[in-house]
Amino acid sequence: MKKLLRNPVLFLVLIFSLTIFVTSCGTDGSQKKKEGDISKQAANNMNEKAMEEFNKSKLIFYSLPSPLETAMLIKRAGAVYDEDLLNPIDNINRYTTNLKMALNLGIYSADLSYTSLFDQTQSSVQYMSNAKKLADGLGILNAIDENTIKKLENNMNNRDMVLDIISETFMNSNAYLSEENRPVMAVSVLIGGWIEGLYIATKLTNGSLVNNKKLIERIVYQKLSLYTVMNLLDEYKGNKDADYLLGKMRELKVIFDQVKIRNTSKVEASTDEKNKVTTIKADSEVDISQEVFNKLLKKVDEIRTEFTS
Amino acid sequence: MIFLFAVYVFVATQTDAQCFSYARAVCKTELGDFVHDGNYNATILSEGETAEIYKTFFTGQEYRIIVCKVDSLPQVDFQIIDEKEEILFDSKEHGGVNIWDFKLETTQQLIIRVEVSEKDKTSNEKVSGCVSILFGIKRE
Repeated sequence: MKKLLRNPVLFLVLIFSLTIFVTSCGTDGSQKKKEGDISKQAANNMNEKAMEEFNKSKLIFYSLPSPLETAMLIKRAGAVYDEDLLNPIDNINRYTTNLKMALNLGIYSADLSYTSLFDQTQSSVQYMSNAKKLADGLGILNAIDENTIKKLENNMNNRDMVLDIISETFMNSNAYLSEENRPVMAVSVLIGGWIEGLYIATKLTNGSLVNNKKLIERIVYQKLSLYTVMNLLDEYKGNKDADYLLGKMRELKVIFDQVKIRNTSKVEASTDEKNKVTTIKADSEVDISQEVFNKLLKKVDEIRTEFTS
Repeated sequence: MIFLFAVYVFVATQTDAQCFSYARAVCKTELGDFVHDGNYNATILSEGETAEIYKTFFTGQEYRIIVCKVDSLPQVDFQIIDEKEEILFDSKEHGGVNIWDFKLETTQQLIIRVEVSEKDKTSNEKVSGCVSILFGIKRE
């Protein structure tokens, strides 16, 4: 080893070789990937068509509505603003485990989105501040810094700017957790935001299936997002936090299974070439009884209470 | 010497961080009147590889999909597919566009399939790079 250190050329060759070894799993925009020895051996035993399929790998991602999209869906369904529904700012002191911090980062992000869409400037700053504390607690570097909060304060009267800031901070957190190999935490943030959106929407109905049909529709179609949540969590079965969340989602699924959503016609698309917009249409039927709706309200309340306690 | 080694390895392994930076700096600029939904969908793909995103799209919102790729990758195409695998939109039929808007009259779960084409199918050397898929929601 001492001889090596005295010989700079040899040392640099060693460093270079080690780096190639370390970085062989990753790729960048200009690196070329060669077929490995294992795939060459497999190729000898497969016919040409199978080899073509073998070489084409398919990655699958499941994407939940973000806290921002959830808040936008609620507002566009005619929801009103009710600050009493939101997770109190002071509750933040309760969250000391990574799971609780991640869930409530999602919850506070949803609350932040909701307050911003209703131009509640003071509350928005407080919720952003809470989101920052939780992001810091989770070690998410630079997701939300003091400049972000200042930027929010300085642009409070510009809703477009506020939404851009919120979406940027969410993307920063989401990307950081994913790329730091903490996918369960990333999923937990999304689930926290999703449950908060569902909670706010269900509470705003006051238990009635007739007062706001648009909002009811939004709630009912969350059944489709629930499948996404469960598929996301399924990938991390065996992880303690993922198993806990999967258990909670299964309790919700028992109720959503009693909600019927059915396309009654084929899904069709028509494209406006000039404006570059495609409209996707299908007739569908939705069926939910008052009894099932009551069960859903109760279960969402229960899960959200558990997450925020 | 040890410091230089550490710096060199650090720089060489930051490919995922570059993907995020790329998505943020380049892809997001094409959102226009749409606000980014905040979700991060980016990954390293190689020629011939496919990625699929399963996502629920809601009625009453107009969406913009932007598919970006680094310059070194060949053409990347995308399709919007329903749960019965029917193709509702194919970018190949629209001049290989990377941005498209769509809206739904009924909420649906759809699949966005993204495929990296191959420059040379006979070659064993495959270029790989960052591909990012962003969704925007039209502002009110």
